[in-house]
Amino acid sequence: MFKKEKTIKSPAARRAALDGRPLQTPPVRTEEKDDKLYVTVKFRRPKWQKFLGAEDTCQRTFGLDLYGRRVYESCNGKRTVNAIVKNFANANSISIPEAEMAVTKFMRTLMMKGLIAMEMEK
Amino acid sequence: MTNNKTDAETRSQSLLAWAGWKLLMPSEWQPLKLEGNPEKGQIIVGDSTCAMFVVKWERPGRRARSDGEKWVAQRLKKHGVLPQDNPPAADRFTSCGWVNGLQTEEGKETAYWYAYSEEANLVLGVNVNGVLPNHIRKKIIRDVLPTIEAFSPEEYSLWSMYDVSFRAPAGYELSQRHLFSGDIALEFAKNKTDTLMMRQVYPGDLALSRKDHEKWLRSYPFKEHRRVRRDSVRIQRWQHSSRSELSGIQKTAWKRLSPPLGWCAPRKTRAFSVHDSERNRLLVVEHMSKNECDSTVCVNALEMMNSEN
Repeated sequence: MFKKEKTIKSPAARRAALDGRPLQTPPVRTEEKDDKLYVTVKFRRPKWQKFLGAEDTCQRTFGLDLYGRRVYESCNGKRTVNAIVKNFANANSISIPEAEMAVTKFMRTLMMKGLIAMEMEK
Repeated sequence: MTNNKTDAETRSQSLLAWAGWKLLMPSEWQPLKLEGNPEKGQIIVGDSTCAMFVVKWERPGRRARSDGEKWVAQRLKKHGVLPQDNPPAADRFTSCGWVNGLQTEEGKETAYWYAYSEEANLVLGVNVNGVLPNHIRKKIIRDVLPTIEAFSPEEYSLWSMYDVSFRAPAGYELSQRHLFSGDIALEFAKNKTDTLMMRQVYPGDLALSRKDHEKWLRSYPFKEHRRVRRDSVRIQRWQHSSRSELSGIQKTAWKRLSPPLGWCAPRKTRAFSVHDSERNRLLVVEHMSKNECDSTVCVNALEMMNSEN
């Protein structure tokens, strides 16, 4: 009953994810300080916080370093994840599998924090 | 036009070298699992979706050295098949045999390739995953198998994966490895008195923004019993004489066991932490020896890093 369902990552699902086009969600504000980009976004509070009387939404600020910023800025809704990975690998002289691992993991974090959204092909 | 094509092909391939052998494979593929040691082991290669092939190696003992051909035939006999003609890369090995197109399930086939190199004292085997689509299996047979080479450890040994390569001088054997994405380190040992650690961290500017050269030299990637004796530390700036892209620091010190064994088997150490501004990588080399540590060993190791890629 409590057993976690296994997620099957098929090659087709992976290809679809790599063909997705990430785009930035509209930030409340952006600020540059000490070579870092600070992006403030609206954040929907979890249910338990609302239950304790907090407001529905709040603002959260995330700091992106040079590498994070490059990936975030390339999320313009036009370029695919695959293209961003290849560009990142070329720009930093690293292998494609390593770049894919780093970029996709970082994008997942950005999505969880609400900084980007992914547009998928139907 | 031909040259452009060759350049493009080179960029689309990456070098995989380990324990006395090397091969070229598509740059989208990567080692998925590494087991064993330089004497015997295996590497599974694949992409993010599945394993493509496995490379197995073994250094035969003195008794088994005499008849490589017999060994190759025995391996194929175990699969219950007769060797086929014209195995790939046969000209680079003392004996070589293979079988291609062995049916595993309906519409799926596999290939087994075995070789023995007397010069390198190495037996190699490649098994192609039997559930791969035919076009990928053909790609492995056409593009990967013909590039396999074994090299003699008497000159040097080459270690490469993820577009990162190291060359260890003759006599040094791999003792420890630390393989993480963006931080790859190998430690080699010679005669129980010398160790040579080589490490690459990338992107280099990101690594240096988190820790400076001195701190990188202090953070040895492997467990060690000896500690640096603080009053013996000498640090100086270092710049390569001909390659302006290599600059950093050089540190010499004594390393000793913790008290009360401090007097026992002290080691002299010389370490370099260098930023390769061309490739944007942080290169760290540390040579520890019972005798005087010559800077040539470290500088050669630095110069030869990524020379194959």
